[in-house]
Amino acid sequence: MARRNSLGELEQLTLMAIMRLRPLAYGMTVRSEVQTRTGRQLSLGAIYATLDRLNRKGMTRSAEGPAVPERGGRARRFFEITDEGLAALQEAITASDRMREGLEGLKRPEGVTI
Amino acid sequence: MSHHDLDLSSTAKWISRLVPASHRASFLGDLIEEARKDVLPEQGETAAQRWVLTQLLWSLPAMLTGGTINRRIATWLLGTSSLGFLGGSIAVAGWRAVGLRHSLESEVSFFGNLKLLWLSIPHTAVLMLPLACAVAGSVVALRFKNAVPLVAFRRPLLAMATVSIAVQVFALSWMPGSNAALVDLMEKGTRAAGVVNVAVEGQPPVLPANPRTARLTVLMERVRTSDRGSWVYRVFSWEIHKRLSLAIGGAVALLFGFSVGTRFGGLAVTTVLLLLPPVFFWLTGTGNWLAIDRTTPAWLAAQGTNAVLGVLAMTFLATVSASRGAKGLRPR
Repeated sequence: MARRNSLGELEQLTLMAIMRLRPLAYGMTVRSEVQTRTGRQLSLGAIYATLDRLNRKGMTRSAEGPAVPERGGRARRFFEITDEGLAALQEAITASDRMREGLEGLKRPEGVTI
Repeated sequence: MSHHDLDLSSTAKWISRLVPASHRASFLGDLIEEARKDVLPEQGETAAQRWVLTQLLWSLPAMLTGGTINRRIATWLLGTSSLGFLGGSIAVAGWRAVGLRHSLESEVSFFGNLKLLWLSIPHTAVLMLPLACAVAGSVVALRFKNAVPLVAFRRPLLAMATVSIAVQVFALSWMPGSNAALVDLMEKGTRAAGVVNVAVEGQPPVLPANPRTARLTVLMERVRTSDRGSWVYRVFSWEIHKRLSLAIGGAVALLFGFSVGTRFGGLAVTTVLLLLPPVFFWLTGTGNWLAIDRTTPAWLAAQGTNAVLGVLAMTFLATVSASRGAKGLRPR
């Protein structure tokens, strides 16, 4: 049975993107980061839905920046991972690593460390 | 134009009202920012606006459902029933927006005036003409849909009377290492099994032992490996046809909803058109049905002629209706 605060795959990717982009993690950059690193095509709406879900779970918090003229006067909403989010992400990665142990056919790409 | 001038088109602004208010400003800001940065410099304003609109539409299902509907499912839904519901909602919304929806009182009054139908034959004729136009129009639209946009799929809609020429496939098993496949099917109520030779996956199978069925065109999707080690395929050409049919049907319904939008006429036509595809597929079954390929030049010519004649007839009826109406053929 899944834990209440278990993370889905996209949630994990989103949290890691937020950590990488800190302190400039907002919808557009998160989406770009996930797409660049995973090669997946994601709609911005999917990223926003995930960010909203993470916020509600308490794994991220967000704050609105100043209005930006290049965005038609609209502000950016910046996201930051919380301690709870960090713990959940660590737990998910650890579980994945444990499942992978001993499976010869599933090796990490070269040069990739977590 | 300066790159700083890009903002949402009126269409995008209208659609963006569906985005949850809590995210709307930052979400739209992100879209604008990315379009300005990545699309506008290389492809120009039109492409940038189109990109924003596309992203907005693709994002809506996820944003409205909290991400539980992904792109693949959204694609499916857009092609099937949800478009009908969406179309109906938009039609009703448009109905209200353009002020064609009258109060309940006036509708009751309209029904009260129906007794006048018996008093004036010319008036009755004038009233019946738009109805005839609507019926003819829907027939033309459905025939056009099968003759032109769906022709690439070679799946004309089969009327109930011609269902007997369809083949229900229960199983189509691939034989690894050969170009043969085992097909288990029912044709005209008779269960039969046989071996088909398939040259390339997804290409039309050839049934040399049965010239009548050699013209089957099949699109297959590999579903699973059977216990015997052979691949089992699901025929989904009919599904594609259904999705396209419903999508186009929804669009046609929308057009009718707006263009024939007078009192009950437009609403009735819209409702009927929205209901037609589901009812049709409920009646004929939505399983793995194969239609015998009827897309011959003669068939295409007949469909084209029907469509042209239908359009001409509709134009004629509409013209007559308008001219009669202008002459004031109304009961005194």
